[in-house]
Amino acid sequence: MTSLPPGLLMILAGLACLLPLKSKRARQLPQWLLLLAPLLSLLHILTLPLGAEVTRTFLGMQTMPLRVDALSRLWGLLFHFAAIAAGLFSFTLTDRRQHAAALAYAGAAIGAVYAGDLLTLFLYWELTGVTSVFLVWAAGTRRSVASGLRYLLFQVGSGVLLLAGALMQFSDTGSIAFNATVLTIPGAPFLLLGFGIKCGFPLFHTWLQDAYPESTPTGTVWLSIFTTKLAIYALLRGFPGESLLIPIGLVMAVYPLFHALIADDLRRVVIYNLHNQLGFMVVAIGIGTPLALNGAAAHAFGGIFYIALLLMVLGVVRQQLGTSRASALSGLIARLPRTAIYCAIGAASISAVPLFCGFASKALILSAAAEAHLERTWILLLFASVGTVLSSGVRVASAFYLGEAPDTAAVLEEPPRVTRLGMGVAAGFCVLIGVFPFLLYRLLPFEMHYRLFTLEHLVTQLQLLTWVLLAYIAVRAAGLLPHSRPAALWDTDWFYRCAFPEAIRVIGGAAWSRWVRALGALRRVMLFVAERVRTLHDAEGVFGRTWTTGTMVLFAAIFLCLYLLVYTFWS
Amino acid sequence: MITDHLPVLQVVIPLLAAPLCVVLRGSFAVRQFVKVVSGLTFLCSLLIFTHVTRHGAMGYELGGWQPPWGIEYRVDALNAFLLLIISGMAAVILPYGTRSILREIPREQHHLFLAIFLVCVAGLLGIAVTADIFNVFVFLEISALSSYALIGMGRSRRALTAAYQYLIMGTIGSTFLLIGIGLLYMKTGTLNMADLALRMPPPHESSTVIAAFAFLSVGVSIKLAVFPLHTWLPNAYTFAPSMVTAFLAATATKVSFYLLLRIVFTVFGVGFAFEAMHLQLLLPPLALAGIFVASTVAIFQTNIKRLLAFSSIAQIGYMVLGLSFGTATGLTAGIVHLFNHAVMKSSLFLAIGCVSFALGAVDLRAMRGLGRRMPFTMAAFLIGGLNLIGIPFTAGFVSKWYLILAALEQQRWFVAGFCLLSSLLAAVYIGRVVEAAYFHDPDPQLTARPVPRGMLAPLWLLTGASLFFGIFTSFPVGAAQRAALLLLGGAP
Amino acid sequence: MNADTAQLRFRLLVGLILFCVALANADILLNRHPHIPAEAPYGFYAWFGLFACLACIVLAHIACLLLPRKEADDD
Repeated sequence: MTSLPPGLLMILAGLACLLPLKSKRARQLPQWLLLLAPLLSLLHILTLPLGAEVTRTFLGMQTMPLRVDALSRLWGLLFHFAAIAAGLFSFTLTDRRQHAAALAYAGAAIGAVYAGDLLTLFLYWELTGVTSVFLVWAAGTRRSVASGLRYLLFQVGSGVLLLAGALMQFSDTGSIAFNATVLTIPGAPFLLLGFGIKCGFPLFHTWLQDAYPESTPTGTVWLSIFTTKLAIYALLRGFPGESLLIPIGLVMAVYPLFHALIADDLRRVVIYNLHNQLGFMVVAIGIGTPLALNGAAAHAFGGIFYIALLLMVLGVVRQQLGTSRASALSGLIARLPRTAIYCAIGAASISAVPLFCGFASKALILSAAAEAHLERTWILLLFASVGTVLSSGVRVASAFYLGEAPDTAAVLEEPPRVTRLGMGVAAGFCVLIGVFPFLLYRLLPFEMHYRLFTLEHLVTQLQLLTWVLLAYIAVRAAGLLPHSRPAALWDTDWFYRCAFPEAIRVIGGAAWSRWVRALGALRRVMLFVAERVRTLHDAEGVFGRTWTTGTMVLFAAIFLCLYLLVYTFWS
Repeated sequence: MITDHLPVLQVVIPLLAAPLCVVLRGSFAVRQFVKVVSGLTFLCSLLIFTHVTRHGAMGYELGGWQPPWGIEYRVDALNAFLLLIISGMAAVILPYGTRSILREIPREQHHLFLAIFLVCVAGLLGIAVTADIFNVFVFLEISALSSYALIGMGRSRRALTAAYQYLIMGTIGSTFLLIGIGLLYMKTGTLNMADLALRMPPPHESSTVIAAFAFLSVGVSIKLAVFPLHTWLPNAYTFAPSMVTAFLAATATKVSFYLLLRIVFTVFGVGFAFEAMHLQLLLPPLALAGIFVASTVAIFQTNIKRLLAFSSIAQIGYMVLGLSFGTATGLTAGIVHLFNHAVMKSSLFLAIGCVSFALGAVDLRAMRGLGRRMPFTMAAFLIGGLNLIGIPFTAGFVSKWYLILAALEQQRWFVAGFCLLSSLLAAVYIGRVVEAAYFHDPDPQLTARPVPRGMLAPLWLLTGASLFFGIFTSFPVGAAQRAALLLLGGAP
Repeated sequence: MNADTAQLRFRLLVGLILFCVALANADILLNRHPHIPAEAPYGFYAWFGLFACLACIVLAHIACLLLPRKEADDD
């Protein structure tokens, strides 16, 4: 039993959801599998002893399909708990394709964290990408189809880079073991980039904002849990202390905040904040001290729950009101009081209010930066924390707690009990870890002695939070908040989505004519190249159509002459 | 006793069975007869393979005349593997084919068609088994002429044109080969491959030998459909009857690749080919261009058979790339791809043949909603497609793995990257078909006939084989490694 | 918004301001152990919270001016 791969049970459950069963009872199977499979899988991994390893030879290489150590066990537990919460949340959904995709996706992510070698990691890595894209496509809109294709390219691309790195490492060192490595080993840069794409490194991050909001309400919750945290796990194991990660992580922590402050759709706001949280984790991995690495792991642990919780709340709002736009939502506490509580818990957690899990993990990271005397890093991280409070904690909470209740005639119902239970599980973890952080600290992989609840920590954090709140209220009262816009700001995905002529025209409307001309010229060049490729290769093109016999023979003759000349004069 | 004669029996059984088909006349009788014959042929190859693996190369002198004056048949690790592939494919595809031709070929021509088919099989087996280079030409002509006829018997009128173009190009290829053989004979006085290797003068002494190498390379390149001499292949595969396409895609190009291996490594030797003629610099650009261009063209195709034909050209590029490295890993990659590609391409063409049988059409519109109408066939196609992309646990992944390892061994990062990139291209063209099949509704105007189990069984056998050999790789990889070491070690 | 609610809000606001000022001065009671020289000043976190918030908002305004984008949204 020990050698059974951990994620396999859930992957098989996912496949079982696809069985075309006829009877009404049997049609409910996918929903029950959604609940049972993670539970059974959790029981299974609890039986795996710490330090267990299984090796197998494949294609002449030593692979390790199963490795249980403190780090993989932590992530395994985390993914299972999260899958249970998300499963409860999506229980009422009857679309069995989404359940199949979600289960297989979760199973693949779990299998990946227990992988001991890069080949096994690669297999599960690609599987997570391929299964999760169906969650994006499940929304069924044209936008989601296009968005999903772009998402798939990024995911598969990151897997291909991972494979390249693995092969280069194998051909250089003869081993494909997945352990801490440095950038000087051949293949390591490819591994870093492959991991980085999946966790949103700058310039490769746009798939997050593009694809996650396009999915279904439940799909977005599932998506937010696994891919990015799997990538964080991989970075944590592969590149602890890699100093390049610090500036990368800082950009990731700060840059999305501006988008988040301006975006109108609150789902996008939360996802930009997910990105910001990932930045914290990446910086912590870059710092590399035991305290920092533990902070990254703890932040991943808590982060899954409060991000999922906020997305769940927004999913409920979307289902009830049809929109999640900040400009359209206000005072929802009057109509959805129970959901409002969960919103408050989520907002408090992400803002790192003491007694919630965000505080427990962010404090670790900030203390680690301080102890390592990284002054500028510490200040930027603190700045990013302030931004987080503003852009997510306050903005999402204000949809519920500020303003007038919506006066729609539509009846707003609280979601069914099972769904609320799912939110409750996520919220429960947020509070549990916030109040009893040692429960989490015991599971963290590295040795550390840290007291969270010191008077100094509590007071300084409260000072920060309250003054931010005060400043926000003042700015809001003065009407100086930035006007929220539907699609916020340009991001680097302009480079590959420049086929939106309206957007170009709008920029042309602004007074920056030289800027506009440069953009237009670049776009024309790219379209030209794509068109040339197409005309050469499509069914009527030079390479695609049938050549006349004469042409074929001519080429044969030309080739013969070429070969003769080359061979004669070059030997 | 029989084991002594196995090499010649390998060719004689199908060759003699062919005229018997003509005599038998009745469609039903002939169809059962050929299945028996193909089974016997496969048994023969199996016995040869086990014998060669245990005891080393086996030889046979035709008519008792000793080489190098007599014609010798010689089976070593490389062609034993190839014999197994050819006869195995014939044995699996014939039960499929005897059903599919019921819809594609007029009943009164069945006995002729199957007779020509057996001649083609005999010709291909003959190329693989002989050690006399002129005998290779003879069998090459036998297999080529019969394949022209087979292709021409396709339903569409364009089949004749396709066969005609293939005939012209194939004849030119054979002619070049013959000229090359003639030049070598002139220089060395022998036609036996081993003997040629011994008597070959070094290149700087003789421009005749260089010219011979040029003619031989171009001739085989035409037959192998190396870019840019590949243009006969797409139409030939598209318009031929389904079983013919599947069989030729699985065997004809493999045999040509084998011929290239023999010429480069056995007759001329590694020193001549790689140090003097710089094949490791000449071949990769052609191979890479072939992979890229063929994959890109495949993306824009709407006829699925044509798409798969272009995909085959790209896969041939992989094999040539493996050869061009000149190392044991590279040759292993190329030879294991011989096997893997035969299995996966034939399964894909069989799947499309089932679609053609059921719906009468093989374009992208016909594929719509096929995931629901013909779930098992489509699933087999999907698995074949995953092989082409190179997903792990499929046979296609194994070949790609060795290919990339071979590239990395020689620090050719660009080539390795290119191979991975081409997987993305394959993902796109397979993705188009999969998207049409699973995400669209079926065209209500096309009605689907049920596909007989006799056609689905070989399809699933091959699909299962592509998965089996993707996980349990020891058989194909082991055979390929033995063959590769043999080729690099020198004369057979 | 009726008068009661308005008065409640006013009282909450005043309470918040008083609480913030009191909290900011809590530094008197604490023994701070700053690892970073920047965090040493009195009431650092309070100042930082205030100014960082304002800075965020100002930068957001600037970003809006530089890179605005219109796109038809779903819903």
